[in-house]
Amino acid sequence: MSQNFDMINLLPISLLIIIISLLPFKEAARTSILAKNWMHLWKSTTNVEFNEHHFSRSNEFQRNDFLKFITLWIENHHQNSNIEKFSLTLSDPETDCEIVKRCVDFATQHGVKDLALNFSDTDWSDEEYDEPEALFELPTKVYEHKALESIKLFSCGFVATKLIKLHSLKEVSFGWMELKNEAIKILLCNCKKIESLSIKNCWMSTNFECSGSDLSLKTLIIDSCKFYYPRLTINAPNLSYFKYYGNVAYFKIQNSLHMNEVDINFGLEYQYPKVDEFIHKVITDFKHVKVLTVCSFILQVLSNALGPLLVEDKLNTRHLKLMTSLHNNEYLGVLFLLNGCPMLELLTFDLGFGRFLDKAPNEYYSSESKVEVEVEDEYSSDGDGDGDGDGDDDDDDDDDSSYVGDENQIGFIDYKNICQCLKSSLKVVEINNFTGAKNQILMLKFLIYNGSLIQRITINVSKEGVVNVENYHKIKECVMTIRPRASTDLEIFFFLKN
Amino acid sequence: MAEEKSQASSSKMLTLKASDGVLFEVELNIAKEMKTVQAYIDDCEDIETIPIPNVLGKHLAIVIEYIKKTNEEYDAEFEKQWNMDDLQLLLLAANYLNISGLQECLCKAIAKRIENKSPEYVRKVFNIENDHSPEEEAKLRKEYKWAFEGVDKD
Repeated sequence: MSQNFDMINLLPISLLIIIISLLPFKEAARTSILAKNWMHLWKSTTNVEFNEHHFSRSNEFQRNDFLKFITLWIENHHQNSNIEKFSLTLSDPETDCEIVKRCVDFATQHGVKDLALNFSDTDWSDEEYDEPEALFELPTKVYEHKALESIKLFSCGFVATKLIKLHSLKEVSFGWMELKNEAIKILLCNCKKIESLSIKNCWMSTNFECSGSDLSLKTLIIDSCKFYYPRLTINAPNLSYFKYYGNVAYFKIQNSLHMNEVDINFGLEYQYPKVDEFIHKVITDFKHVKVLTVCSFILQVLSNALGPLLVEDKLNTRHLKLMTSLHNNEYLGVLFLLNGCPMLELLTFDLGFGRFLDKAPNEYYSSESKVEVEVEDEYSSDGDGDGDGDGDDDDDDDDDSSYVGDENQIGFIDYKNICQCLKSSLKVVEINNFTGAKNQILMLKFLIYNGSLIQRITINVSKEGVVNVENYHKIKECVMTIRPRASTDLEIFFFLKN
Repeated sequence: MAEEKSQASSSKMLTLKASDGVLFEVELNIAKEMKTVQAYIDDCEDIETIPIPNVLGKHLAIVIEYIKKTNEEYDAEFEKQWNMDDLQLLLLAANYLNISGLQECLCKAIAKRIENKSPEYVRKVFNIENDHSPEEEAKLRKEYKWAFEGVDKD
């Protein structure tokens, strides 16, 4: 039902500007062609982003156009209007350092609260980089701009002892630089309002320590960083969200009772670790956490190291997210976790992630969710779903030969008696990037046969993975007819996604 | 004496009268979230019925419910129930009544719905008449060509 008048004319300009300011800068610019009275409205946006990537045409970066645009913008901007967010992404900043300084002046003069400077080189990649020096130094003006609440510096060097003057800082993000633990310590100790710290593609030659009994820190993200000493000490009593992506690291966690969500992803690892006992600690360190995301590396190491490590420690996890391909090397790890989370309510599978870690350290190949694991289905000819009695259900058996390449390794079917959550708490299951591969169907069967409280299973099928619509319907049919169903309330939803 | 007054005021009821005559009885502390209403009360203490001339009954009802229920979870789901017209009228109401939380929530919702859509789509949504001549539009598209690459075709 649409009214027959131009309703947006009723909204006062101040509201229109708020709405435009909530749009990305590029989108805001597009509103100029909506109508005559919109032509200049967008220029009052409080969210300004000068990003060189917007000015690339057929891979050729139109640097001059970009710089001209910035200069004109700054020159023509109303003195009175304020800027809340300012972001500059420019490679090779030294060549045009005057413009960079002008940008920073412009932002601070207009009261910017959220400042982002990204000078990183687009050629640098997550996995290989030579630890380049920061390409620019943070202009002095910024240290005096006390209104700043959020700062993001990528390849932009700074002096920690000066940065602490910014007492209003709530969010801090560093990238593509060398960081010293001293800098982090000073920052966290002096800027008491910091709630979020994110470090990406940084390298540290010192230990990483984030501790203090009065830290306000709620969010900590460590992404693709290189640690000469990969021992991370975290003691932040208000920490609620912790995400780690990179190589194997050893965490020393204290005061973690408030942690709500943890995501540990050792996705930069290619090889099975020489020593694997630490993996158990990685899991038990976070046993209070309600939402836990676990990667394929952890699942594989768990699967292999399980024998002596099958412990009684139960996790408090309510939502478990597994990044996995459900291949042979991961199964036992998956089961170990399901068994260890007796209060699990929601289970998510993000399929198609993770490499196949072979025990022979030099071999790996990227895992595809289409890799079919030849596993025999015990239930295919068994109408009443009881299954055969025998199998590898001996928990303490650490028989190496049963893990890699064993075609009858479907031990999980026999674990049904100990996954407490399947009987008492699991209500919802989500599967992303489902392709209908045998191992995925088997996991579904395991859950459906045993999950007596499951109310909903949502299956997001990847268009690429199923190849064609006919396949999709076949898979759907196969899943919908899985019987017996332990839960009388079960509803299964299928979605085809790009 | 002051204590008595404040105790009384917390359970005092107020009547709000929408533009179409619909009446709403609300507790004082709910009404105070609307800063415009608060100002009214400050000016005339004994008032019992406050006219809200710019807001229809159906929207005032939604606004009052928002004030009562607002929290992180509620806000996340709130905007999904309303179509674009209602969102805008609610925004006007929130703006007139000066309720900053609701105003912010609605602005975010509207921005989210027009994000990544073509200008043609946005015009349709807001019922905007395109009074640019084709030449003017072409000129703008050229001037800001960096902004027009990779747009959703609806």
